[in-house]
Amino acid sequence: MPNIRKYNKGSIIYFQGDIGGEVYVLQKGDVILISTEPYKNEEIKERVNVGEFFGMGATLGRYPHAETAQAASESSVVVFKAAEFEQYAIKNTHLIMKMIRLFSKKLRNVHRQVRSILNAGEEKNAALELLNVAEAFYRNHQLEHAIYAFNRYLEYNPEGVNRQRAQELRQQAKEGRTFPSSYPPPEPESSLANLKTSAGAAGEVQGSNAAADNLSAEQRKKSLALREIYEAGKNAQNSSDQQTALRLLTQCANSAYAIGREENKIVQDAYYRKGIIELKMGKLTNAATTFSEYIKQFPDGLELKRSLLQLGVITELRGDIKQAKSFYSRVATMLPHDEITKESRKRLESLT
Amino acid sequence: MTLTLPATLLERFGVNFENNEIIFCEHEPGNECYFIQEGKVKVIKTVGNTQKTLDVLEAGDFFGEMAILEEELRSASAIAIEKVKALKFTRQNFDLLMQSQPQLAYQLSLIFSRRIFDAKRRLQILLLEDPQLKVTDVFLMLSEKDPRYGRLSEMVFNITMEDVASWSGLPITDTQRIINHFVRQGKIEIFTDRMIIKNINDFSRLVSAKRKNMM
Repeated sequence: MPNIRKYNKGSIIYFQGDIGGEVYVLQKGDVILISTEPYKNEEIKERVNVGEFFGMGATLGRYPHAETAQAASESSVVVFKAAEFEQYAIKNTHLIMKMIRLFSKKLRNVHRQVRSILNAGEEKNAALELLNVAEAFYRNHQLEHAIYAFNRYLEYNPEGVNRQRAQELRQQAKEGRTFPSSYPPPEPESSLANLKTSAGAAGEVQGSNAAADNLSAEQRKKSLALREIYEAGKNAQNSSDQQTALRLLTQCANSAYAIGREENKIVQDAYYRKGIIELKMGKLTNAATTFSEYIKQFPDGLELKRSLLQLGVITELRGDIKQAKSFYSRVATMLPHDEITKESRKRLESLT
Repeated sequence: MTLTLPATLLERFGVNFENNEIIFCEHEPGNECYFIQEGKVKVIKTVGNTQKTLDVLEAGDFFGEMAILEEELRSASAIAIEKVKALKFTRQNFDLLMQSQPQLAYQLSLIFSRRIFDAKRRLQILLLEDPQLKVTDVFLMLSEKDPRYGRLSEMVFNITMEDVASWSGLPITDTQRIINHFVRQGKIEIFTDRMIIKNINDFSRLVSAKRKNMM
């Protein structure tokens, strides 16, 4: 039988870090949940309403409590031991359903946060990823699995850019042939291709542009120097040499020289890449500063939308949900409606 | 987990897979969750051209469970590596399952709960700025999962350099550099398929000290 325990104002029910073992329901009074993390500067406080359960997550998973629970006024609390709680839940299946819904949502959110850092800056397209899975199976001689995956790609992407490719490869797999090594890589799918080219255009620098912008010899020299540093920075980033990439791209971003159109694009792209590397390295404060500076300097810039999205991501990682939502809403209303709009809407939904 | 399932349940929700049959592939939409009664299922992720085995699940395990609330793209591929007997359910018939077998539903909530903690722990590592600290915390995190943690000083982990790189969110070259540094200091021994941490308490102290400085 569960106990009823009384707590005085200010009493601690459990501390953040204590191993879970009991589940609580607030019967009367006020309880607040306080959490702090080393990399977040504020305390996050949450009220428990009468009739609500708390301390569940840690007790069920047998891990340390993620927050401290404190009575804000004289309170009485129903206390279940883990086994008692299981009995109770099994007799009240709506509670289990509620828990599953809540946990599933939390899990999705934290996975998304993990992916924000691991895959920072890489906007992946699901159709292309599915195709890649099929081709990976094929390359590894798992023909049945490859055929299954090609079928799925074709089923879910009837208008897919790589439709013919998928059909051809599937046929070859059915015939038991090995993966054709000389096959070119697949085409990028949908509107994402346009997004990439606009950002990538900054990298397509040609010497002739300098002449088109009517620069002096001195300016042309500076322009060339900027491009070289930028290209070297990009190469370092592609070969995962984060430290070097950061150094070079920072140089580009801070460059006082951005007279021509092409040079301007380079500086903008360098800013965005710098922010992404900082995010990947876990340097949230630096990344936030970089994206904010970019927005200040280039209020109509090419990377405005993506920078705002990343600021939302960083704010969310820091635990400031209100501010994160405000960034995401802002992005969601900006034209054109593209993959970034979709992403920001998804994130906004998951936070409500 | 011992669970005697009634025949009606098996009839209604039971599915069978042959050895090496693919159950679903990564990135395809799905809204079914599976519970293994018999056999083993391999969960793999495709990274570029290579495939990585994330886990091997057996009787009593769930997989595909993230799809239970909302249709989602599968985050990995699931392949039967023996003849498999499983229960398959969607969010529509999950309620039915719950009424008949609430213990199963309860087990599922335990799994989610544990996973939330693991993911948050992983995020903690990714948000450390110091690369050496990231690697140190990876080993600490792995040791926390070992029930013998706290009693042993030396700990053995069946992981590769790539695993550590993935957990720490660092490029493989940086990871190698840091681990080799620890090897030279005599703190770690590395073999092809495992790593031995000579003194885990050392690492634990390192992380706590640095965490204190950050607060």
